[in-house]
Amino acid sequence: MDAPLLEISALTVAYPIGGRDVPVIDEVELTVRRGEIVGVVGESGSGKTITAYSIVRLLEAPGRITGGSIRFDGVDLAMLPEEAMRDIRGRRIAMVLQDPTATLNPVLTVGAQMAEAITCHAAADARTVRERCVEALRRVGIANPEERLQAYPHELSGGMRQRVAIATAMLNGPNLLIADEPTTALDVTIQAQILHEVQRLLEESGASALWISHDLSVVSSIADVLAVMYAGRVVEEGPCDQVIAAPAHPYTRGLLDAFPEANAHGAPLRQIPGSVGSPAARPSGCSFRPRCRRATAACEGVPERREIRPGQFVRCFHPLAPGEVA
Amino acid sequence: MTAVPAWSSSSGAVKPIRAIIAASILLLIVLAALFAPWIAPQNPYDMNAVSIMDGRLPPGSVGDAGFTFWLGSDDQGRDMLSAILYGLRVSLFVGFAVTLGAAVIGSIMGLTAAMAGGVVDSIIMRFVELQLSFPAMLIALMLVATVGSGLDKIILAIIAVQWAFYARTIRSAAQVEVRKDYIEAARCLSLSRWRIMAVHLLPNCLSVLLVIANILMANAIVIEATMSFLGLGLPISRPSLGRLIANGFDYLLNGAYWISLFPGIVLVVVIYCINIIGDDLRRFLNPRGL
Repeated sequence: MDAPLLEISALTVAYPIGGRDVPVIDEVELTVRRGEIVGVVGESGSGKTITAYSIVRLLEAPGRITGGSIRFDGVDLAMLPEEAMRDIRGRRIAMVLQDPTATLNPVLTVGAQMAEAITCHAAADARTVRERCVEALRRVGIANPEERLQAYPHELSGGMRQRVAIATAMLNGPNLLIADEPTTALDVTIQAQILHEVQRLLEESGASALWISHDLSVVSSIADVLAVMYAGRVVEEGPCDQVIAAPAHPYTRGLLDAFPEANAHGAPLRQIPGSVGSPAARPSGCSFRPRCRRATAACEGVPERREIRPGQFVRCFHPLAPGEVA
Repeated sequence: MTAVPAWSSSSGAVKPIRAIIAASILLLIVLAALFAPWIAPQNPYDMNAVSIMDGRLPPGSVGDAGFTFWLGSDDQGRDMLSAILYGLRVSLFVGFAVTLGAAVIGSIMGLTAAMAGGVVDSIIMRFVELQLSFPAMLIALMLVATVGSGLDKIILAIIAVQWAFYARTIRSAAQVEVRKDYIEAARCLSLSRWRIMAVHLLPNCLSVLLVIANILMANAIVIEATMSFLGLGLPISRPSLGRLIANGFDYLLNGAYWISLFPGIVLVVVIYCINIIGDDLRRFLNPRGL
């Protein structure tokens, strides 16, 4: 088997708060194989977005990578000089951001913005650029792409804008697409359409994707591998179906139980008590400890990442057996 | 019956009558200044065309040269109408040149500060604040007094005074824009800093720039007029409006009111028109932080 496209190991990102470095993500392990879609789920503040931004090295100051490596196609991105990083960012690793109403520049036409994505990485004549833009728009299911190139963002609907953003991201044929909650701001029906189109697009181009969302149902419908983040750590990672069928971490179990669909009709929804809390006030050891019913004295130490079932990794002292209720 | 407001920014249906009138008058004045060599009865710079015998003629008199001095003449016998038209050229040129120079420098500084943040932002903005803490006129006078007078030096002095206003305003507008996702998206595409600044950030700050440029252009003309009035501006051989007013000042109490009055009226009209346009522009564009 060939080497994975992206291999993040022991990645730690810290922000200085009150004079000391507070890790917002702590020893994150994540692997994306070629042609695979990895879904990352977690509550707000769990470190999903920070992980994504550290891959493309666009962490907002004063946050910085304090440890670990991000191996992308054999190169450690964490160590790469900015010059070389620029060549990778936007060309080999593309990003789609959350809010389609804000990711397009309101004063430039769609065509002008898409053209930029091509010309900033390679010289190309206007005709070729135009043809590639039209083709990219057609592939994300936009009717009359020639006309749309002349449109300004405010003339397009939210779904349309996100399609434009996805088309722009795919223009340079990236190896990895990082999507940070790209469908959260959209209607459910549009969301389903876009998910379907992205899935097809990725299949055609053979690109991998890191799909970030807080919505487990969205991620599970598209991802091959699921990674669950909690308070800056990947607490569970494994093949999507396997993790959904037999979650090993009590937090994953809790997420699945909190699904309205998972509940018997009329029964009160189950929820996970408490909230994530700020990175500065995280408990020592397993940070899920205060909200976990299985917590014991052992949980005051940091749980190691271990393979509990083939391909399924978990950071927990008391993992669940298949079918076990938390 | 209730009066219809002259201009309502919310409806957009009502036309900005005030601004349209002001713009028309201003356009007329600018055209008159542009075509001054063709429409002025006399070339006030040409000493052969000026006769000292025609000095201080009241408005409406007919002089030796055979044409009517509609706005009177000054002590040298120059036709005031011609002098005002030529003076307008100088005043308006100063206004445009200063606005262009200061807007370019100020925008680059403001955008850089907003984009870079941190230390760079602090250094630029402390410098801007330091400069803004001195009265504009004082700095302009000091600069002209040290480097000497002349059209180019006056323009440079006023640019040196005004860029700070642009920098501060553009920075505050750009700081809002910089946080928006489309800038983040541009970063994700690996666009260069300069490209993000010029293509993405600047156009989104343009409405603010337009309004402040308008206000500061009027301000630049006034500063130039004031300096000329105080004798630190341009020589009487190439008078601007301010110099013309100063020139007539000595004769004001002798009854020769027209030498100061007419250039003064033209200056006031120009400034008033520019300010009205700026005012309505601001209401129309509604830029933040102004």
